[in-house]
Amino acid sequence: MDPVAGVAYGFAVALQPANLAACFAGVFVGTLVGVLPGLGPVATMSLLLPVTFAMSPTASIIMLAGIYYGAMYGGSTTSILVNIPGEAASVVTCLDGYQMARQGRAGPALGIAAFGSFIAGTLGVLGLMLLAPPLAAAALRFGPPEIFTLLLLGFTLVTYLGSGSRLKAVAMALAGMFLGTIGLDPVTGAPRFTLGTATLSDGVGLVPMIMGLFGIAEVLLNVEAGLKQEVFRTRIRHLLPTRQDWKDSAAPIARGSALGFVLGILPGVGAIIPTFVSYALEKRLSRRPDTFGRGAIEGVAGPESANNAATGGAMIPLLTLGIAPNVVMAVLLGAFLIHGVQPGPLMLREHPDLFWGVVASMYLGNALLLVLNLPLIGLWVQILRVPYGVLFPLILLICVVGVWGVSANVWDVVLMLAFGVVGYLMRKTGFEPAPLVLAFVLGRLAEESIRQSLLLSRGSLAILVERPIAGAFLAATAAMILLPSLLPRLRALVARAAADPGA
Amino acid sequence: MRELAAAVVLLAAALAGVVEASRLALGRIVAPGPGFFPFALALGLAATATLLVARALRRPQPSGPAGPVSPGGRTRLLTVVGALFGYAAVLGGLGFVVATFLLMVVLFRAVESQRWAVALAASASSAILGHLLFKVWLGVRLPPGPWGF
Repeated sequence: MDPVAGVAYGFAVALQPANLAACFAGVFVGTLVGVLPGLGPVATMSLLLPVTFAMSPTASIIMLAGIYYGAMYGGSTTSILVNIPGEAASVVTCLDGYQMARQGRAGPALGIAAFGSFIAGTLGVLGLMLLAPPLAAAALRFGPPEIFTLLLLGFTLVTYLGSGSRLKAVAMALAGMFLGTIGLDPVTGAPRFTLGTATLSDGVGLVPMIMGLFGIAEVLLNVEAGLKQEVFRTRIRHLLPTRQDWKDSAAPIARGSALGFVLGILPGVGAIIPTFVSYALEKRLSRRPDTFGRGAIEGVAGPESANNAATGGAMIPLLTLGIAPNVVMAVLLGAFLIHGVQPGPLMLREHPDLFWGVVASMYLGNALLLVLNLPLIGLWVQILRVPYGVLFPLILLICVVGVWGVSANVWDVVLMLAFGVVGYLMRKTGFEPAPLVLAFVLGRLAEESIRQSLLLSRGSLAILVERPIAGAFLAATAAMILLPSLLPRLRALVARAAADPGA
Repeated sequence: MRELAAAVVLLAAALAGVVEASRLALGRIVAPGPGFFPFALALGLAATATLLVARALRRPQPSGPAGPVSPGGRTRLLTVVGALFGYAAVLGGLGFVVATFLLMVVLFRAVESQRWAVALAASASSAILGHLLFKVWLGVRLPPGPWGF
């Protein structure tokens, strides 16, 4: 099916009443959790996973994906009005968005964030639609060695692109992979580290881990800090950006979209890193870099576009390879598997209604979000006025019910609380939870694929270099590891040669 | 101090992992057994943690609270954590509605000290609404108490 016929078919699927309702519910809930600090898309998607059991696979994925990109819209509102990121990918938006609000320009800041998100989100879906089919065709030639080397590249990126200490990210990735080995051995079925319990023989649950490390830990930090939400008191006027605002923002939106989409495809990147890269890029390219941090509209437009384009990019590895490139996609992968659909190169052929339906729903969802976030902005501002002392018990209750709903096992609730405490301590000591969770998910797949590779090659590791695609991934991994240490030396060499032409 | 403590805890956990993994069949690198990857990962983690310990010893960080801590923050934090573990302990015995009511009373009182009347009313309504929303409407399997809800 070519993209045009595909997307036409997709709209026929997405416009079915049940799917349209799922799309609306997804983007609405997504905006809500994006606005509420301490409840992000990851925890919410895990929470609503059991709710989708009764829905069709297509409606489930449409709704869960809607939560993800909806949260990218909602997060900016809190950043701009309260100076607290509503969710992690909107951290950078605080820098200039809140300053704009203080200068009475909350309206244009919210407006450009919503329009930038809409443009980037739509471009991201367009890229997904055009790139996924050829990539899925190429991915048919992927066997265990290609998967393993691609994952190796992903692990390297996880540690390389984190925002904190690299050594700590490596430690977290190793710990995550180790946690992934708990349960029954994928090849022989031997129990590993189960302490003789039934709860652990299925492995550590992804949902309790995510809800603990992200949901509970965040609440604990806020409770300790005595978080006071103070919505900036201002009348929100002029939501439609002026011509000058558009002139300033057009290029940042375009660059943010491209950057977010391309970075989003890479395993291990997610939606947060592109926002930092976009902000740094805009500041460097700007003719007035001194205005950044003092209410530059470019500093809102670029990053807010980047995080929305990244959501489209991140769907590519999931839908074409069946590999979750970030934590959110890991939850979505879980949803696919629960509904008996294996995402990967064959999905496009076996479940075209699902693939094209989800793509078309993302166009619809972005349009719905524009309406939800501009004319209805007042609704979200009201929600921000609910004090945290009232909000946080409800967030905790939602986390408990979510974990219980998946397994009906009280030990999973205990596991979540333990992860919550660990996550709190990690945050206090500068360890990030994202590399841990991602490595946990990818680690199982990595162990399986390397052991299958070795069975294929009858015990020769050469299979990883001899197959061309696998070899290329391996070379890219080596380059990623070596370049950072070599680059400064190369630069120094060039500089010395330039300074002293005789040498 | 905090950096060092975190690194030491991580190292201890990694060493425990090494010991536990070595009890499983390791196999060889070309034909790994169930214990091979856990063993290698725990070993790698132990090496990384050792580097972190060394770094913490070389560059002592200033001690003091990391991140914002408001007055009474520690107490509130411990109350919330205790209440949550207590909730997990009684959830099966008391059932969702009663256990949730008790949890919410503690939480509403603990952090922003809502007045008793407000806390009780809010707790009762969140327990009942939670029951209606999650169990009746969304069909989540919540634990029933001896009285059936």
